[in-house]
Amino acid sequence: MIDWTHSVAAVSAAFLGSLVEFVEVLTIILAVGITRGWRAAWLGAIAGVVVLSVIVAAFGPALLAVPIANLQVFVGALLLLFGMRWLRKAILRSAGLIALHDEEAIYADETRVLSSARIATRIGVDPLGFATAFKATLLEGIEVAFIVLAIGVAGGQLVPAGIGALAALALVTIVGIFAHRPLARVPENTLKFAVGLLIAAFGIFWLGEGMGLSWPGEDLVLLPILGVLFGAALVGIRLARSAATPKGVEGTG
Amino acid sequence: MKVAWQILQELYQLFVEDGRLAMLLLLWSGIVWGIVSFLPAMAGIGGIALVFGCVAILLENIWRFGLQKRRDVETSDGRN
Repeated sequence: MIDWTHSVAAVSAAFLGSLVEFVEVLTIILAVGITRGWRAAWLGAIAGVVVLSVIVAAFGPALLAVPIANLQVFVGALLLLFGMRWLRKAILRSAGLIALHDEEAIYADETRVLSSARIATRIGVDPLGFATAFKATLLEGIEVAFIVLAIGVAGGQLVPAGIGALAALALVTIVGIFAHRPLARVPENTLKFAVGLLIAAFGIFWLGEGMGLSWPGEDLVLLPILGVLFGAALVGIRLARSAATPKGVEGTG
Repeated sequence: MKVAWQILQELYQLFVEDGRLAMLLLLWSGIVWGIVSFLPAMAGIGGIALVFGCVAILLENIWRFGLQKRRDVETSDGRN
């Protein structure tokens, strides 16, 4: 029962978090492929994956060498910051205070910028397309690697977290190949909301474990932590709206 | 070099978008850790303090953002 709570939460967090990142990579790679050629898009993406693998191979085992309590505090603090950042953004987007993430708009912007650039091909590859695909793959890949490693290493859930991320990669790749356009219908803000909640809950839990706090119900305490964060997020949306409403406008909308 | 710098910036921004929020979350975690280390009897309520403290910091940050947004709107209305 206890393992299930943790494994399901780890798979869900890794799957949803990775899904958001892979959708963003797909948007950029599609824009590069269509405007600068598929050769540059694929080579850039492959180079990004290779560099990312080297980074993970270098830093991943180092994490395992850290004593578990210190690792839980370190990873817990990073997960807390990461999760709260996503949750804050999702709350502000839901409250209408910042713009929603729009894959079609990003795709249109990228396509416009990439189409207008005049850069000569070098050794058969377009350097701008290569660099754009490389950077997108590496940067978004680092976020995926962080989510998987942080959730996996601190809680001994590397396999479930890895499965979650691979499932997200497979889903985005298959849908991307068939759709051949940005996945604008993916409810990115809802996903970020869910991932923010899950990752912030993991962060608080691991931080507490590392500090030596005694959680009632052990791993099952993740569920009430999630509940508190969810309730707080709903309050946050109302709070943000009411704080941002100019005086004299209250009650009109 | 430019790409390496961009990667470092992105890495930092993975965790810190609003410096005040990040600093307060770390500060509160440190305070709870310090109290629990000196008073192990508090370990039971340390978790509650950690969860609700982090929630309060997040809500305060959102409230502050909303107020700033309102001030921005009121200032731009005043100019027009």
